Parts: sequence; C-alpha cells; structure tokens
Amino acid sequence: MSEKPELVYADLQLGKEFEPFSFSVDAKTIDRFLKAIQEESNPFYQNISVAEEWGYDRPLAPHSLAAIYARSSYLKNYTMPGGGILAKQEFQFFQPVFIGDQLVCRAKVVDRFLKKGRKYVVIEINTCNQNEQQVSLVRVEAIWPK
Amino acid sequence: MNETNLNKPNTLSVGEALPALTKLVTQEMINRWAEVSGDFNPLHVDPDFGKTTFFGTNIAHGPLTLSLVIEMLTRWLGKRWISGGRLYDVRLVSPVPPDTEITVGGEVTKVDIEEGQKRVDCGIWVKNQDDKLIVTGKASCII
Repeated sequence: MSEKPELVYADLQLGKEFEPFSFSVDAKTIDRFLKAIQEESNPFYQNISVAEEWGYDRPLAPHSLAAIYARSSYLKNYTMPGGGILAKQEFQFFQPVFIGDQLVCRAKVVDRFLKKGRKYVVIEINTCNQNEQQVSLVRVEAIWPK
Repeated sequence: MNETNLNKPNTLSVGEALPALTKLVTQEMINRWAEVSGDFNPLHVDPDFGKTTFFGTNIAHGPLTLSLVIEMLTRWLGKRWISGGRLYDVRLVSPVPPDTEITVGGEVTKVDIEEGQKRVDCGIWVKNQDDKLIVTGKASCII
C-alpha cells in the first residue's frame, strides 16, 4: 500500500538533512500515547491543575512523546526496512510541551559506521515548537538492516 | 496507581535511590506502541516472526522502554526535568519480550553546584523480574 521507498544505509550519507517534519500535539494523540505506556491516569498530563501548579496556563504533554516524533522525523518520506535495532538513544529537554503545540522536527545524519559487519547510523533530531523555541534534542544510534 | 511527587527534590545525597517505576510490558502494550509510533516491525508485533529471529521471541520496541525511563524521571524531578533534563549514555543491553515485568530505577551519583545552580547526576537502570539488566544510562538535571 505504501508508496514510500525504504530508507536504506546507502541513502544515509553523513550530513544528510531530512525534510522538516510537523507533529501536532493533539489530545487524541496524547491519549493514545499514554495508553501505550500505561500512563493514562498519570495526573501530570492533560491536567490544567498540575500545569497551573507548575506555573503554566495549558495542560502538559508527556516529554516521552519525543521517542515517537523523533523516529517519525526521518521516516516522513520513507519506510523503515524490517529488522533494524535501536542501539543507543539520548534525550535532552529544554522546554515543556503542551497540548495544542505544533512541533517541527529536523533530522540530520551525524555519523555512520560499520562495526562487526553491522551498519550503524546516528541521527540527531532537533525539535522546536510553534514559537521557535527548542524543546528537545534527540540522538538515535541504530543498527540499520540494509 | 501513580505516586506523583510534585515537589522537586530539595535535599539529595549521593547514593540515594530514585523512586522506582514498575510495569508489566504486555503484547497489548507493544501493539499500542506500534499503532501510535507507526513502527510495525514484525520483530515487535508478530510472535511467530519473533521465534525465527536471533532473540527467539518478539520483543518490545526500545523507545517504549526508554519512554518509561523518561516517565520515572518526570515523576521524580517534575518541572525541572521537562525544561532541563538530559538522559544520555543510554544502552539497550537486553531485549524485552512480552509479559516481562520491568523496573526503572537508579541512584544519585553526584550533586554539584555549577555556575550557581545545583545539578544532580544519576545512574539509571532498567531490570526485569529476574534482576537482569535491560537498559543502562545516565541522567542529569539542574534542580
């Protein structure tokens, strides 16, 4: 069904920048995400009372959402070949994310190498909100399947 | 079910244990992660395919486990974590098959004053019900 090509190691040249990826932090997505990690009753999120206690005027979204939008940022125009394995990951958080935010993720290949016959790729994903504020920096090191 | 600490930890000491977070990772949870992330790699969602792999089973997505690490740190550090936390040197050392109970924990390794701000460094781990390491990593945050 998918018309998107597979993203293979040969495509992942050092310095490759992916087309910016927009991610809407809407309540429905957050609800699905929280169910996936069994945190649907966590009072931190989707809760204006907690947000106000922390000095914000909108309900917070989980920062762990970065694990989702980071991956999507380099697969906007591609599909992931089966068999890839996540080797390492790093997260840095700079700003809270709120329900209703519109994030823009920019992914770039910052390293690629062969080790023990396996193909490794390191992708850095820089994400900003609608106010151009950096909200996170994610670094993904994955063993690429082909 | 959620023990939430809205107060930032004002008094911390080296060796102090982080408040652990335990979850049973089920196939339903893995399937939901696949749906929300769009990652339908059969290694995660197809038990029959999983049996044919190096692991001998299907396994949870790595980012799913890391999301729970972030949630544990958010519960512990609250507002400080979401606007100044860093999770790094994270290694996924063992897979998580369905029906594995995992516990996310760690301990304070350093408390320091840096440019007038107090910073905490921690060692982070995820273990299964048999105490086997699944993830190791480090975290730091200005508190």
